[in-house]
Amino acid sequence: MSQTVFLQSAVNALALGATYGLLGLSFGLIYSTTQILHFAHGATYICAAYFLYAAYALADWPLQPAVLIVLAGAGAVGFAMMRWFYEPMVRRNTSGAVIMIASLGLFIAIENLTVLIFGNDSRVISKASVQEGIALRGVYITPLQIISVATAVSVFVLIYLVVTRSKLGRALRAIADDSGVAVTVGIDVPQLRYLVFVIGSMTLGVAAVLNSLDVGVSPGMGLSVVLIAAVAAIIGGASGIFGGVAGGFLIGAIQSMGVMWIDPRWQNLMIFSVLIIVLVVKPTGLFGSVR
Amino acid sequence: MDYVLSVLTLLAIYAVLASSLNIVLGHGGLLSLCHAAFYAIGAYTAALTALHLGWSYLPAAAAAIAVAAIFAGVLAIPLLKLRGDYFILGSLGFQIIIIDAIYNSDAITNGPLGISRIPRPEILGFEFRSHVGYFVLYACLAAIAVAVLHFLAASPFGRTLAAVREDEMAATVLGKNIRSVRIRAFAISAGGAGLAGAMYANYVTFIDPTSFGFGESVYILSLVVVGGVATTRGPLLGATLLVIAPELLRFIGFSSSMDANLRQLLYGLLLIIFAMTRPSGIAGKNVF
Repeated sequence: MSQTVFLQSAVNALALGATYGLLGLSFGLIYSTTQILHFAHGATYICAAYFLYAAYALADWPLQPAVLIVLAGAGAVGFAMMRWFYEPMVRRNTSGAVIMIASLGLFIAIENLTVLIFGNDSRVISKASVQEGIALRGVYITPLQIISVATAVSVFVLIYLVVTRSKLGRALRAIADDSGVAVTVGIDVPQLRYLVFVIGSMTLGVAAVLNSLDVGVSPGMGLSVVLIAAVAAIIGGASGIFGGVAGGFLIGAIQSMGVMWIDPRWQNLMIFSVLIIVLVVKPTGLFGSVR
Repeated sequence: MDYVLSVLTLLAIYAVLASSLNIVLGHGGLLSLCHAAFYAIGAYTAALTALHLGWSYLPAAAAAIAVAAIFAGVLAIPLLKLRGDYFILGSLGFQIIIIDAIYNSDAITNGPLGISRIPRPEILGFEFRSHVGYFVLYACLAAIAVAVLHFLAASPFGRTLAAVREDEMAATVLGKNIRSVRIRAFAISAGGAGLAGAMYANYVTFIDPTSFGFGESVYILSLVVVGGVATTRGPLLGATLLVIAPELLRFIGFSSSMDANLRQLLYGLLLIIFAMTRPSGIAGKNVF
């Protein structure tokens, strides 16, 4: 295998991992602080992708205001889900399994509603993925790949600073660690749940923009997105907030660099085998700490 | 009339699927998202033994039950090490791994193209071709399967399984081997899905991996959740409601191109309503 092929795969892995890292972070933020297996996250993704489609492709707005609409919309969807969907169940002490079933139901309902409204076909909204790239010694890097990595890293740094430096972040970490104790020391847990859903959903919105510019939008993408988000968060370590970032880069690496050795059609099988092995061997995740 | 019989034949298949999932989900209290994968294993086993080995219907169906049960028994060993959310995710992982393996094993399963011309059921020289014939045969098979599952649930094995669900510690203290009980429950449940797979393959005579995906697992789950868990009636009620209700939509003038999506929208909404207001389903016990 030539060095160029290896470097090209590494670049692709990094760009893909940036988007997947955002997915893993968004799922991990929500799961670690609320313990909700949030399958309807896939529905939030569908909403965000179609907000972008409506604003950028249908209404022909410039990209910047369209992105703002997507982020605001995704945050609003996330808030609404917590406020009118999960909160009533959490308040009644509904078990996690039942909440997960409801979440699956919400995901399926929104996915199929989208198909009924917009149809099932995939729509390309940008030519960014086929723009001429920069060539560096035979390795091609597209502008979208650079934007993806730069955007994702900025989001990681921003959320990292919030979580590690601010009072809010300390409260979030306390809930992720033990929400019962967090309540007794006077942290307003329900209030923070809203906030986490908004931040997590907006982070997902960023990933939705990057991914939609790359591969377009279709209702069927919600499922694969939420699966990648959940797997990234769990294999990275669901007890912490940033395990999902590492898990996302790992999945990106499996998908982009795995093709050098293994037929790409076995990718899914490899990713989910990694999930099962991690769950059985090290349930705290590859990068998670033991409590 | 033929239309009514074909809906009822489909109902018989889903009654077996829902009742068998109920063993793990209701009586065992384990939320498994890979039932459709065992359904697929049963369907492919029945199709391949009939086409390549020339097995007749009943031996092929028996093989489907056995192969699905063996797969489940083996997969249960790592899966049952997981708890709570991780069990759910692990079962979801197996769902995707199994269907992906079927999809990509072209040499055996013909991959995405699927297997066609699966022979119709034939028992003692009588070939079932008509809608009436299928309905009678499948109603009998479903009745036998549901009866077997009912008696298993009421047997000492079923009661041990329920005891483990209610209180693992107490069951262990009473000397019950909780792992072995759950592994057997998993295998039995998958055996039921295997039978349903054989029924489906020989009815539709064409199978491909898309019929057995994650969405199908969630659909089977919704039959049990809506009907009610841990009772014999519950899954039967759920299957009846969710298989027949979408058919009624046709009569009030929805086009068939939107059929599949409307059906899924309907059960998505039902899942939400039942989870939020009545998690035990229409006729179920309070398990979760």
